[in-house]
Amino acid sequence: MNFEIQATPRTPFLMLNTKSYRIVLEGESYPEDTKKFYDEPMSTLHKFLGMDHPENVVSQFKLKYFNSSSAKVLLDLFLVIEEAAVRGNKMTIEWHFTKDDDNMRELGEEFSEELNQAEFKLVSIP
Amino acid sequence: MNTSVGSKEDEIISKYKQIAEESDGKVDADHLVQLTDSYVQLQKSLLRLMRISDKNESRLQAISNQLSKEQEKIQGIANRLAKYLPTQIYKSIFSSDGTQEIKTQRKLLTVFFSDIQGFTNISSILQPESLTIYINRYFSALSEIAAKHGATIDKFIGDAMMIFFGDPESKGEAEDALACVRMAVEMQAKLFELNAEWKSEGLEYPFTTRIGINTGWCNVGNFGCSDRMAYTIIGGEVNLAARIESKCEAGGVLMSYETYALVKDHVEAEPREVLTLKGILRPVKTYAVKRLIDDNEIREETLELSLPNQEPLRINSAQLTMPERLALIQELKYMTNKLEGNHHD
Repeated sequence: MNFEIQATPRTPFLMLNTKSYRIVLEGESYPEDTKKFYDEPMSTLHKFLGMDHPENVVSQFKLKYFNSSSAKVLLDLFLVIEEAAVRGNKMTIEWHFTKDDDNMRELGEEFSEELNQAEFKLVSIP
Repeated sequence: MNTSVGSKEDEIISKYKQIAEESDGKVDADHLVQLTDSYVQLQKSLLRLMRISDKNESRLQAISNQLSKEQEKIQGIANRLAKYLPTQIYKSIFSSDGTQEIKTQRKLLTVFFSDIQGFTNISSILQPESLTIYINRYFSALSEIAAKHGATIDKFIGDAMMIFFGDPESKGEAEDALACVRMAVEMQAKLFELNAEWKSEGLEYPFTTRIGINTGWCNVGNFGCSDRMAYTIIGGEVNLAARIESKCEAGGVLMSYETYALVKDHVEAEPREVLTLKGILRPVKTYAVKRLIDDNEIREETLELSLPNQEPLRINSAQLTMPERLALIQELKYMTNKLEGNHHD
C-alpha cells in the first residue's frame, strides 16, 4: 500500500508510509488532467483511511499552490480524514505555509472548517 | 469502492435514481432526509470550492500585476542602459541567456578614431555651458551617422570617438572597411555644414575634426574583472588607428594601406607620408581620402562655370584634398544663398 510519487513542475510529491502512519502532499498542484493524476493515489489513500489504526495518522500538507480542481481532491481527502476521526481514529492534519503567505494560511483555515474530530494544526515555516 | 474524483457525488446520484425508479412514485421520508443531507453537504463543498477558487484567482491577479510592474521597471532600466551601450552590444545582452563573462575573440576589424583639432584650446575659451551644448550636438550628429552605417561606437573620450566595424556583426572585411570610410566621409561633410551653422550662432572656433582609420586583427570582447567589465577592442592595430588619426589633416580622413587596399575601387585617395611610429615595427603607408567614387559616375576633373562679363570659374576637383573640396562646397552653398537673397551668414 505504501507509495511515493515524485514532484513535477505541475504536480506535488505524494507519499503514504503505512509504517510511520504518514501522508505527505508537497509542492504545487495544477495537473493537466486532475482525474488522471489523482485517481490512483487517492484511491489508495482513501482505502488506508477507511481502515482503523492504532497510531496517530499524520497528514502533512505542504503546498505552495493548488488550482480549483486540486482543491476538490483535497476537500474530499479532508472529509475522509474527518470520517476516520469520527470512527475513533486519532487523525492529525498539519497545514504548512510559508511565514508571509497569508493566502495559503487562509486556504488551510477554509479546509479546516470541515473538521470537528480530526486535529488541525497550522505550521508556519520561514 | 470507487474513489475517483467526483465518484462520491456520482454514487449519491445513482443511489437515489435507483430509489426513485423502485419507489413507484412514493416518497420515503428517510430517503428524502438522506438525499437532502447529501445535497446540503454537496452545496457546502461547492461554496467552499468557489471561495477557494476566488482566493486563488485574486492571488494570481496580484502576482500578474506585480509581474507587469516589474516588467515595466526592467524595460525602463533597459531603455536607460541603451543610452550607454552600443546598440549591438545592448541587443546581444538582452537577447542572450543573460550570462556575461570575461571572454575575448580575435577578429579582423576596421577601427576609427576621431578628435577635434585644438580642442584643449577651444575648451579653455568657451563657457562650459556652451561647450557642453556644442560637444553634445557634435557627438549626436556623428553618432547618428555611425548608427546609419552599422558601426559599433566603442566610447567617447573627451572630444574623441572610437568606433569599429566587424563586431558583433560583420559584412566581410571589405564591406566593413568601405562602410567605415563612407561613414567618415559623411561625417566630415556633415561637420562642414554644422560648423557653418554654428558660426552663424556665434561659435568662433569650428570643431574641425581629424579622422584616422586602420584595418587589422584585434582582440574584441569583455575586458576587466567579473564585477566590472567593458566591451571593447585592444591591440596594436587599434593603437595604430589612433596614431594615424593624430597625423591626419584637419577636416580629412587618413587611412592605413590595409584599409586602402580594401576600399580602393570605391574611394579616390592619394598617398601621404610613410609614417615611422614609435612602438610600431613596420613603416606605415597612409592614404588621404579625396572622395568616394560612385559606381556610375563619369569623372570630370575640371568644372567650369561661365559667367557673363566675368572671368569663368574653373575648379579642378582632382587637385583638391577632401577638406578643400568640402570647404569649397560650403562656400559655394553660402554664395548660392547670397545670390538668392538669403541673409543667413
